[in-house]
Amino acid sequence: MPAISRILVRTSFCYLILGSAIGTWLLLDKAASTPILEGVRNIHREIMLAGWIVQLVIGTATWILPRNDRSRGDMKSVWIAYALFNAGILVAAIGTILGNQAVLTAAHCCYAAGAISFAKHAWPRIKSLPQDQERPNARPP
Amino acid sequence: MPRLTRYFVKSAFICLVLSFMTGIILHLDFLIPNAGVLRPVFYHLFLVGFTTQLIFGISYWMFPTLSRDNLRGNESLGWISYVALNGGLLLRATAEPAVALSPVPALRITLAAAAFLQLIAVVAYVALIWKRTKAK
Repeated sequence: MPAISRILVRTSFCYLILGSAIGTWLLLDKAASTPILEGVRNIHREIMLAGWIVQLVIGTATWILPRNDRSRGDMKSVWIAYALFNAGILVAAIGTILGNQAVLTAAHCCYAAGAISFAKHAWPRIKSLPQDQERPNARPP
Repeated sequence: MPRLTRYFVKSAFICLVLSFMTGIILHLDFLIPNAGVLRPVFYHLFLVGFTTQLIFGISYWMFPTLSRDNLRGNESLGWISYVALNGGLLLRATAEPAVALSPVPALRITLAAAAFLQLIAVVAYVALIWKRTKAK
């Protein structure tokens, strides 16, 4: 597993624990029937989707997708994607606290740019393995 | 595929079916009064019960192993995570809509227990898999 994958996957685990702790707080709050800031629910969603699921998926994909001549290719794009997704979560949290729609839009622009950057890295790696080309009907490994 | 993975993956598919069945009920709100109280259950069955549980199961199987003597780490943590996640989700799926309709103390305590069980599940899984996020 390359360094960037380890960092992405471990960051996603940190977000999983943070997001679940916020989720636990939300559920306890519901059990106590005390009103909670709607923004907390929004931060919980951003952390669980962009922090946990997306970063785990792109970290694992960077590790496991087929390589071109033993090389995983341009890793700079993955680092940029990592930076953009984490910046997006931070900006989304700030936007939620401030209640500012423009800041929330900026957060989603960060996510979109991160997705483009990761797609730039992954696109050339989404291909048949040489053994599949020799035996097109072979069962996947 | 290890036994724990099979349990996680099969339970994930059961949650997927249950989440879509809940989704159908949500669309029948013109027939079923208060169907909207099931909305959080629908989202959590899909994202926690299906997506997260599938990730837990597959990563336990596929992530780099620790050593020849200790392939996948402390399996007990995996079982704690499995039982807590599914137990917490089951309690949540029953108590959350019930609290919305009738917030009696027993249901509130059940909902609080569901909240803690899901957090325990996540912490146990991360404790199990953290060391396996490594070069080889």
